[in-house]
Amino acid sequence: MLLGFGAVNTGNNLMYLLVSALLGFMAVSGWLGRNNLARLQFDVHLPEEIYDGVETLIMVRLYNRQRWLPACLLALQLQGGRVRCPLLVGGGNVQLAVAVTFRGRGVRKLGELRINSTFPINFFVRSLAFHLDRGILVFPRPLPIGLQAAAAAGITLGDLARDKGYEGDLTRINDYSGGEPLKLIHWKASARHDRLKVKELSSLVAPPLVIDPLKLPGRNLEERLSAACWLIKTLMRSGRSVGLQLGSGRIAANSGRPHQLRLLGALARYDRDTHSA
Amino acid sequence: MIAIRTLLDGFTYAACLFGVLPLYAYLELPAQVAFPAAMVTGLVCDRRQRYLCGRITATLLSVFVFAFYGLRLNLTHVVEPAVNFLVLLLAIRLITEKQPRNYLQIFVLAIFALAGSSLLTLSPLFFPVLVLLVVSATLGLIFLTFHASDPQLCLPTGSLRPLFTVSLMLPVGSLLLMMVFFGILPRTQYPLWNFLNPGPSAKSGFSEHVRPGVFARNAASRALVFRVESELLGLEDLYWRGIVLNVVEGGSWRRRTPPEQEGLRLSGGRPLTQIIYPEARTDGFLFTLDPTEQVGGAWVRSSADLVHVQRTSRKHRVSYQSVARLGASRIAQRADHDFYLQLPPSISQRLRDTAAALVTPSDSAADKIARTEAFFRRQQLVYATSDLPGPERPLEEFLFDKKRGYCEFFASSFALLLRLEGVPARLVGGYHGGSRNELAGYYSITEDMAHVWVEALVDNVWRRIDPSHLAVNANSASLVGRGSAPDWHRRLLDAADYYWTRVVISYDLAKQLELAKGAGFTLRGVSAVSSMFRLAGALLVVVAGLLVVIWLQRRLTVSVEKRLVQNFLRLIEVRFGMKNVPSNLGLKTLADQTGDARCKEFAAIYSAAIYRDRVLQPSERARLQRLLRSLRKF
Repeated sequence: MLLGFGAVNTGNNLMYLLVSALLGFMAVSGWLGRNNLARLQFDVHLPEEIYDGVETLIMVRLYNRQRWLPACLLALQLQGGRVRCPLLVGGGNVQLAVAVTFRGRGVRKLGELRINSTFPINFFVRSLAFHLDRGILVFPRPLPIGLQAAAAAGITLGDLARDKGYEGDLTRINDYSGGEPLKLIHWKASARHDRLKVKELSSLVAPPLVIDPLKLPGRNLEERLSAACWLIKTLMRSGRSVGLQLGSGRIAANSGRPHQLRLLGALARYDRDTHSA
Repeated sequence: MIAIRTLLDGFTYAACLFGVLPLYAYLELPAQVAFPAAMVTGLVCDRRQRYLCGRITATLLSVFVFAFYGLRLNLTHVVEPAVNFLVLLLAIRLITEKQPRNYLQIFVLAIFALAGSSLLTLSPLFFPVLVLLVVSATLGLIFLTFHASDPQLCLPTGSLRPLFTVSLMLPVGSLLLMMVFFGILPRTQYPLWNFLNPGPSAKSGFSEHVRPGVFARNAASRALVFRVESELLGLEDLYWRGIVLNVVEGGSWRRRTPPEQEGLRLSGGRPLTQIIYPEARTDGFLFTLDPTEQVGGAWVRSSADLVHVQRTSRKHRVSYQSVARLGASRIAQRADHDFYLQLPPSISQRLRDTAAALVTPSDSAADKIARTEAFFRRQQLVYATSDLPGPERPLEEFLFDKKRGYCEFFASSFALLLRLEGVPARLVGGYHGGSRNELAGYYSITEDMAHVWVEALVDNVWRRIDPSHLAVNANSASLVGRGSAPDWHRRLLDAADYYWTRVVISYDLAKQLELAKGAGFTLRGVSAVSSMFRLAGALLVVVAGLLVVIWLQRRLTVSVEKRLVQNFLRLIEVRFGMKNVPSNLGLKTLADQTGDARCKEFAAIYSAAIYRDRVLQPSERARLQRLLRSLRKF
């Protein structure tokens, strides 16, 4: 502004040249900023298990569909989680892990995914917003309960060291499903396989059973459901067949991952006025 | 891996260097010393990440420098203190720790320093420096953005190439657009702050009076006085008229306003339009090819003896157009013979006797001139610029003793003899000759071409007589070399400087209006401004052509099916307001959501082909295109 004012008032053509270059700079930087986000695409990969209040990594694969030009200084925001990508070459893609925490069990919307960039000049922030209407089912927050409380609810826990748990020895490495604590992620193995891997540790086991969450200890329904969630996860990880008694509804005891997801889903939807995810 | 900070520092120091470079010679000693010292110290400090100057010290130093130069500011002395302050501020900033906003301040100071240099010099060096500053500052600003997002950011060396590719688009695009904006930005006819502009740096050796004998040696420089855009002319036509000296006072010829009733009419001759670009200050006198009847511009005052003067002082350099009449007769109207026959009382008896002996009162003016010319030849006068006659009796010494002198001696003595013989005469001061630059089609007139000749009134016509050509060495003296061209590399440099002046320095409101009217493209010859715009236009056409090629390539490499579905999705977005359609939403679902039969048909035809892994049949393709056309019309 000052230089433009000076140029007009002095009539000095050299200053006009400088002002013209600065105007050109503003025009081209605007175009570059717009072009930087113009041809970005993404895929969102959700883990199978997402728990209320537990930090979960959501994988977003970002594609730059421009043939030659890179996309620069991208900052991706989702559900309060934020991750940066300094440079994505033309025609390339990158996988970004966004740490997200959902609040409240039941069906939730993924919400808005926003890609920001300050490129090329840090004067303005350009944004692209995508409304992701995709529904996700958030399971109750797992809430460990004591042995006595579990026994009072008719649940006994075994003591076999060969079963999965959190404290024992490393038994094997498996894919990250979303429900495991972040401390169990095996970063070296994840880097090698280009996908997240978790450590499975040995734990205790117990005989098959049917859990009635309403009989479990807790100050309210949510705490009881959380306790049931923890029990289902813990027991099924040890290979036990687990069933569920929810009011008048009953799910027969069984084992396996699909069954576990069915049980957790039932807990998530219980007493919620929501439709199926 | 390379640290972004390293790149940022490199471009920051480069921007500082290019910003201050054209200014450096005009800085005072403290700034001249402090700036390079700060560059070196800053580089070392940045490398070690330990700084000599803390924030508080830097602020105190800045305040001190501001106060020092602020006190020296006054209306006639604005630019110098301001630029010294800017450079010292830049030096202080270089030796302190740099946050992202400090880098930004450095870039702004560098740009202001370059802008300040434009108020001190109009040298063509400005342009390459401007280009380099734009490149370094824009790249620096881009890396500053990376640095601001993560100060520790390092990028793999392989990713620098795409980064530089996209980053270089910024300075290149800025410089291309600069040419367009330069042409169209608004200009005023009388800028308010004109006093801040640099005037011509040199003063012409051209003088408003002629006094032979004052100097024992005449050593004129080859400094440029003006350039003339003109067709090729013979040396005998290259007389550049500046001033007419019409009275003799003591031993000196001076100018007085010609008698009021006097007029002059040009008869015959060939009209010749020229554009003149003055380089040196000539105290308001505008040089034109002799004789010129018209000089363009309302700011010019012309008198009856064809002397053209600027009405008002214009500090910034301007060009002017003149229309000369080559070979025309200067017909005097109501000429005051007595005015042009005045003689100084101190004129020597020897000169009077010589004049009396040369002619008789019954001789015509033409005969008298011929006899005087014959006398000059008989005297075997030598054209010389050293060992000249002294100030006591310069003309007698020139004509009878030393017999050597330069144009002032020849012209003064010849005109004086003519007046003694009763022929009205006057001296004309200006330049003779010109170095032709064929590369750009112009003449350069330099200081050493300054010349004085005589005009005598013969049969009511002012006739040009150049007595210097009566010298015995006229064919070998410096007069002959006045039409010669310099070396090719000098011509090349001079041509670059000429184009700089023609295209950039002298571009003003008049030329802008001329362009707006479209007249700039139809003027005779190649207009400076039009050539600039043609260049800018050509560059834009090249860029546009490249974009078209890229678009075509992209279009040809994308399959017909993909292009059809892309157009379909675009139309859905425009016609049905369905923005941000999820990428995983099926085409049929999308068509169902619009509720439009054409969309459903499109989806059905497309899906039938694609999901069976076959290409579209020509009939299907035609039908899809018809549906798209229909959707476009809605």
